[in-house]
Parts: sequence; C-alpha cells; structure tokens
Amino acid sequence: MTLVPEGSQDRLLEGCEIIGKAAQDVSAPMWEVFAIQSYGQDVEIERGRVSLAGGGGEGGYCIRVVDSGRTGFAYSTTPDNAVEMVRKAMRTCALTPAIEGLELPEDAGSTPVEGMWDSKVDQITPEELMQQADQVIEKVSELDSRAVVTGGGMALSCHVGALLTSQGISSAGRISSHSAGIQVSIDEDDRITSGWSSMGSRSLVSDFDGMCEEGVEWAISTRNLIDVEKNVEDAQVLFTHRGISGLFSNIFCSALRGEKLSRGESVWSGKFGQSILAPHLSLVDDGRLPGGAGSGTRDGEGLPTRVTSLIDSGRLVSGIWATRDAAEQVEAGNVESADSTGNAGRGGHHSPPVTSFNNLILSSSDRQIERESMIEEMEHGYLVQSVMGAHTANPSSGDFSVTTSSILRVKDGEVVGAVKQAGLSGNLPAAFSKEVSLAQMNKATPLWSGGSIIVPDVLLRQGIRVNSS
Amino acid sequence: MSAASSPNTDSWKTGRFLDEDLAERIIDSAKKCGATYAEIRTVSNRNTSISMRDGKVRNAVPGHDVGATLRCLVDGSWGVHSTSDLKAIHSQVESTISMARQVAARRSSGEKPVSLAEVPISTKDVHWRPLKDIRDIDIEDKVAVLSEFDSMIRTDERIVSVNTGFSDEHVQTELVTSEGMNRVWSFQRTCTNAVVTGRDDSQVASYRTRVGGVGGYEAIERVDLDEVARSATESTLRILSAERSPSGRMNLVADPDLTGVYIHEALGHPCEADLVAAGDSCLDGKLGEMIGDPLVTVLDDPTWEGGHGSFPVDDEGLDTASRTLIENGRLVTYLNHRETAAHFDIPTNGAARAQDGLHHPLVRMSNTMIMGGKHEDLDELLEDVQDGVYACGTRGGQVDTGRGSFQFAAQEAWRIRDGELAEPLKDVSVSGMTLSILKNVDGLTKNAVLASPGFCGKGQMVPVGDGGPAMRIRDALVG
Repeated sequence: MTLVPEGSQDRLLEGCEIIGKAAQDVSAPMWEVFAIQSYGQDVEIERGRVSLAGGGGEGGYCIRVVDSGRTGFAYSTTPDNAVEMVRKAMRTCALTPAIEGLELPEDAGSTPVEGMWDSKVDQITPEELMQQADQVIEKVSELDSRAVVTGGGMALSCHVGALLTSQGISSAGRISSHSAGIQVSIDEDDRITSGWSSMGSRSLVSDFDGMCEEGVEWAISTRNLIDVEKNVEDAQVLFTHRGISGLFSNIFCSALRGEKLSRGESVWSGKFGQSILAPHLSLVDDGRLPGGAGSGTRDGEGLPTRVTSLIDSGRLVSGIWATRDAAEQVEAGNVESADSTGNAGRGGHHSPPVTSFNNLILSSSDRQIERESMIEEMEHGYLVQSVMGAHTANPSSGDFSVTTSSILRVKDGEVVGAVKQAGLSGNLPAAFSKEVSLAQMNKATPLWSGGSIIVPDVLLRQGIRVNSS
Repeated sequence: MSAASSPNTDSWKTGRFLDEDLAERIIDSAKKCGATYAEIRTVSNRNTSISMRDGKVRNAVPGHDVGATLRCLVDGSWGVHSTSDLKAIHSQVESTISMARQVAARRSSGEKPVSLAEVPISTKDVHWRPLKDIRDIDIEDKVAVLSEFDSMIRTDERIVSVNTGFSDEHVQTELVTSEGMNRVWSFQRTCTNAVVTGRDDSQVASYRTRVGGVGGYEAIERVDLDEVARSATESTLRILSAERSPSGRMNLVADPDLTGVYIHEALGHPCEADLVAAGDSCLDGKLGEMIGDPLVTVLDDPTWEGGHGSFPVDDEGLDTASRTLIENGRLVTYLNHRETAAHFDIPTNGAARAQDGLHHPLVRMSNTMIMGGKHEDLDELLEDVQDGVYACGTRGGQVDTGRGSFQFAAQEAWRIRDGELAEPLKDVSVSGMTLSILKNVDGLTKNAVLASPGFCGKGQMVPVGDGGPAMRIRDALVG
C-alpha cells in the first residue's frame, strides 16, 4: 500500500489535456494548465504521547490564460468543470491590464534534480510513523528524565504535479517529504522552560537524535536564570541558524524580489552594483540543490530551475523574477530588461504562480568556525536560539524589534546563564553590512513562504540593541 | 448578529455538497467498525479574491473549494481523514478507525481517554443572510470598488506603491454525527485591505490597513473607504519621518486596535483549553483566581455583529454565544471544545473551529474584546502620563503560551510628554509576561470597539476579530 495511488501522474496529465482542449476550443491564444495532488499522513504529540493520527489528500487543477498581454485565472478540484474553468479564466482576463511583451514561456528543456523522491516515504505505514513518534518521545526522556515532548508531531507527504502549456511544455513529476517538529518542556519548581527543534527531508528520516538533543539542550540551558543588570545596550549577538532564520527570511527574501527592487519598495532599491553587505558575504538562490526543500526540475511556469547569484562579495547583483513581474516592470520602465530567473512558485492550485525563492543560501569567504569557538571569540554578548515576532519586522526598511525568551548570556567567552526575557532591535541589512561572522554549520530551516533558506549561525558584532530591562 | 433578509433567498438553497444519505452511511460504517463517536463535516467555500497594484488588477480569481473531514473516536482516541475528493471518503473509514486504535494502544493506564462533553443534539439549520449576497455581485463590480479605493490612496508623490485587495467568501458547513446532530449553517465574510509604501530619500515605510468582517457586500459598502484611504496615506507619510522607538520600561497607552491584539495574544491564547490541557498555558490551574486588575473584563463573542471572527455555529455543531473569560480581573473559564470541556469538567462554550473542510477543529478565539472602563476619552487617559508611548495599529504579534510571554508590534506611535502626544515614533514593539501585565492595566476608556479584522495562526489559519477601548499599562517593556 502506498500513499500515492498508481497512475496518478498520468491521470493528472490527462486532466490537464482535457482543460487544455477546452482552452483551444475557445481559441485562447496562450494557456497553461497546472495540476497538483497531495497525499499525507501526520501524527500529533501532546504531553508526552501520541494524541492523534490523521491522513488525507487534496488537490485540483488551475488554468492561466494570456491574451494580448492580459492574464486570467481559474481553478477547480476536477477537470470535469473544464469548460466553466476556461470561461471564468477568459472573463477575468478581460479585467487585467495588457502587459506589453508578456508571453508564457516556451519549453526550454529541463534536467532532473537528484534526491527529490524517496519511495520509502510513499510506503511507510501509519503504524511505522507512530513508532517514530514513540522513539522521539523516548529519546527526549532518555536525554533528561524531566523533559517531555509537550507538542509537535511527525508528517509525511507526497505531491504529484503536472504542467501542460500551449507553448509546448508537458511535464509531470513527484516529490516526497518527511518532517518532524517537537516542543520539549521541563516543568519543575513552578517554572516551565522549553526548547523547540525541527527537521525535514525529501527522504525518509530514521535518525531524530539531533533534533531531540537540540530541543532538550535549550529546555535545560534556559533554566539557569541569572540576574542581569536591567538596561539597554548595544551588544554582540550570536544567532543560531534557527534564531536568525525568521528575521532573515522576512526581511531579505522580500528585499531581493526583482519587482520590489525595481519599484522602490526594497531597502536595496537603486543599489545594484553597490556594496550592501559585508564584503565576505554572498547570497545565491539555488533551485537545483539536490534534495532541497525548494528545489525542482522546473519552476511553476515550466522553466528550468537554475542557480542565481543575488549578492556577490557583498555587492547586489540581481533580484529574482517570474515571467509576469519581469514583463510588467520592463513595460513600466522601472528596469531596462528583465527575464524570469526560474523563480515562479506555486502555492497549490488555488492561485497563479508568483515570484518566490527556491533555496536561498548565505555563505562567507572568510574563515568559518564552530559555534563554540565563536562564543569564545565574541567574549561578551548573547546567544539567541529563537525570537518572537519575526513576522512583525518591517521588510521595507529592514527594521525589527522582537522578543526572546531563549537567550543566553556570554561572558569571558563562556555561556554563564539564561536571561528570562529580552528585546532585540535593530536594522538587519545594516547589521549584516558591518562586522559579521558565519559559523561552519549549515542547516536547512523551513521557510514559511515555501522553499527554504540555508543560513548558518550568524554572529552580528554591531547594530543589535539588547533590552534586558 | 442580526439575520437580515436576503433579496434573493433562493440562492441560499444550494443543497448539500456531501449527499446526506452517503454521510449517514459513512457514520454507520464508522460505528460498526467500533467508533464510539463519528462525525463528517463538509465545508464549501465559494469565494472571490482580487489583488490590485497601483490601480491595475493583478489577479481576479473566482474560486470554489470543498473539503470534508471524517473524525472518529475509538477506544478514547482520535483518528482523522481529510480530503477534497468527497467520492472517496467512504473508502477511508476502516483506515481512520485503525489509526485511532493505534493511537489508543499507546495510552498508558494512568492516562484519561478522550471523552466528549454532552451537548444538545440539534438538527436546526442556521443561515446568517446578508443584505447583499456576494454571489449576486459581478466580479467586475468588485474590481470597480477596489479600483476606486486604490485611487483614493495615491495622493502624494512620496507614496511609491499601493497594493490593495478584496476578498469575499460564502461558507457553508454540513455536519452529520453519530449522536444524531445533522445540520447546515452558512454565512458570508467580505474584506478589503491595502498596503501603502512611502519613500523619502533613504527612508522607506509601509502601512497596512484592513476593513470588513462577517456580512455580505454591505460589509464593504458601509465603510467610509475615503476616510480609510486618507488615514492610511497620512500614517505612511508620518512613519517616514518618525523617530526610532525608545527602549525600556515605560507607561504605554494602546489604541483599540493594539489593545485588541494584546488581549488576543497575551490572554486569549493561554485561555484556549487545548493548550491548557497540553500543559502549554500559563493559566493552567488558575480558574477562579484573580489574574488581572479588577478593571479588566474580557469576553470572546462569535455573535458580534460584523465581527471578522463571527460564526453562527461552531465546528462541533454548537450554537454560538458570547462568553466571558475574565470578569473584573478573575479568570472565569477557558475557551473550549467538547473534548476539553469534558477534560476540565466545565460547561461547553462552542469554541471549536477548523480552518476549512480539510482540517479538524481546534479550540480557537472568535472576536476577543476587553470591555470599556471609566476614563471618558483618550485625553483623560493621557493626562496622568508624564513620559510614555501611545501606540496604534498592529503589525501582528506572537505568544509563548506556556511561559506566558508575548510580543506585538505597533504600526505607528507617538511619545507622550506631560500628558500630551509629542513626536511620532516608528517600529514600536511591546513585550512582557501575561500575568504581570494584566495586573498593570490602570486605565481604560469607556468605549470598546471592534478593531481591524485579523487572522490567527495556530497550525491552522482562521479569521478573528479583536478590540477594546484605549488601554493604559504601567511599566510595559517597549522596544
């Protein structure tokens, strides 16, 4: 028994053909039919035990038509409504403005990306998934008898997709994923401390020890509260990869969209070719990372994925684009030229493709050392594992003001204890343009808007204000 | 919530999306397989989504989603199956029962099995009919309204970008349970929103606004969009020239919008009984205790007229009603669904909500309000503040319910000096510990109002409303 029924890809493509034919019947000049069907299982954990098991599937079809630069869109859960879908798409097409030069992409070929499908994920049974949850619960308890997995769970999913266009693209594929997340709590002496950890992979994961250790470690380390002088100070802050990921994705991902850059909505608008980050930092979007959370053979419009350099040695070199945004900004005169960078993302069948990141990877040409060595080198400052309110950061300016209860004080190169709660504020692009160091470890952390960002631990030596009052 | 008569009552009779006989057969199968309780909930969502940028339509999408969730309680544990393929759900009964049994087998002898509080079994349909059914309005007319709203905002050369949106939905839910509950309910929700971006030299600022709530097209028509546009434009330009927020402990006065977010994040979430039962709430064991200043009374009301988080029947089939969570500083009850009402042995209060037909219900808020106090108006509330911050609007918030800490961010703010508003501030955030801050509330204006519509994420995204009067807090941590 598998999650994905046999013949799913063929059935999706057949459905796309039915809708494509309906579009041809009304002489839609350009059309693109996308279909996706998702299947999944999940297990929830509460208060140290498996509390619920579930499964299911959902999916549907959508069509985008382009007629003289105007675009229309409609969707349905079944191709049985093909004629109605096409009629709706053509009607909404008339409501949008014509964008000169907007055309759906021609087939430019594609090369598969490795590591996107694991048949073991497709074959695992609900009982086996629950056994994995049992192992995680037991492991946490083994690591510290006080520690309990108070929340979280395990999930498996398999997605089958198909794309058929009037421009010669006919493609179908499948991806799998296996993920887990746990909140570990220690409730002792009338005080609860918690640690959160998660992991995800396109392949079946069998070893969750690292995730358990991280959760338990932070539940323990934040128990040792120390008295800190209640004040506001500019301090060095070492963000773990998990601690920086929310702010990084909220601010940097927004700022590097091509249309935001060209429309003056990005903090880096008008700065192409200029130095915007520390000179040893580079940022690429890699749609072809083997097994990457945001990887794929083609993007959501059927163009082959690629590696795009965005910031090279601190200088802004490019933004990311999908077809429509590129044509629109060229027509508006905001940029001389722009083409898709293979960054059209699909959030399902309910909405048209939008410009989105695949795998955003931050790297440094400087010496990179392990977290422990960074703590020694920073001498005085703070180590932050998570922040609350990363989504309230201002993506237009890069300013942020967040709170953390997962913060450790570092003195003389050693962690000396935990601070109960502190505010962190500053301007993230500015902080990354000053003294900044990256640690050795790279770990993928899920990005809420799809895809992933891969950012190691980051030491920001300037530009962060810590309010421990 | 008033149920106004619709000009076209026939359009409400869409019929069921999951055949009633088939639903009954599925429930019978589940019972035969050993379910002590089974339900199948089908949700149809017919909607329109329009987005516009700088006066040009980006997308106009008429949509219709249908999903169903089968939930079975077997040996005191849950098994769940959700699907958009309604034809196939009958074939999933056995596997859903099997999953529930496997969960039950993991329960230790000391753990309580899941049980459900008894509730009235209803077969009554409830339809909140709007004055103007959104399904009778052409998408071209909706685009025209959004286009007009958009044009009202672009009135200053420093405004570099305006993104606007319109959304409406007609939600119909069908619930059939093994206890004999068999009912259909429906309502509509309509909203419009804008994100305004301004630029002045190197400064960039953005401001978000959203209006609307439960109701048909009248939910937008009754709003003074011109005033909303003028206010958003002014706020954006003011933030451009505002100073960075001071940091430290100080007196904070929050407008109704921010008061609402505070009460939602800091108190509403820890009041959710599923979090309390999971050991993830700072309000665990505090029922009946004084947790706030006697000034503080908080209610959660799914029947608030026009509220973004209003709904007529909860997702376990209970008729909704207003519930008081804190009365004069004392914690009166937790928000609950049937499982947690039984767990805590407290009366049910109909707070089961699921995002859609593809999710199972959790304990969720609706429209959460702190009630008005004794201060006549904002001026009177500011009078006694020598130095502080007046913060308005919200860019969202977050809470750690277990530790009882929270953070939320204001859209704009002013410094308060000698009882009066002084220079504008930007990027103001407020954080603190729920149980400390509730005791530091020392002033509320008389008039409590429902503020901007919002959304709440707790694994599932649901529309919510919140609000209150202007509120003064001593010794708040401002960042």
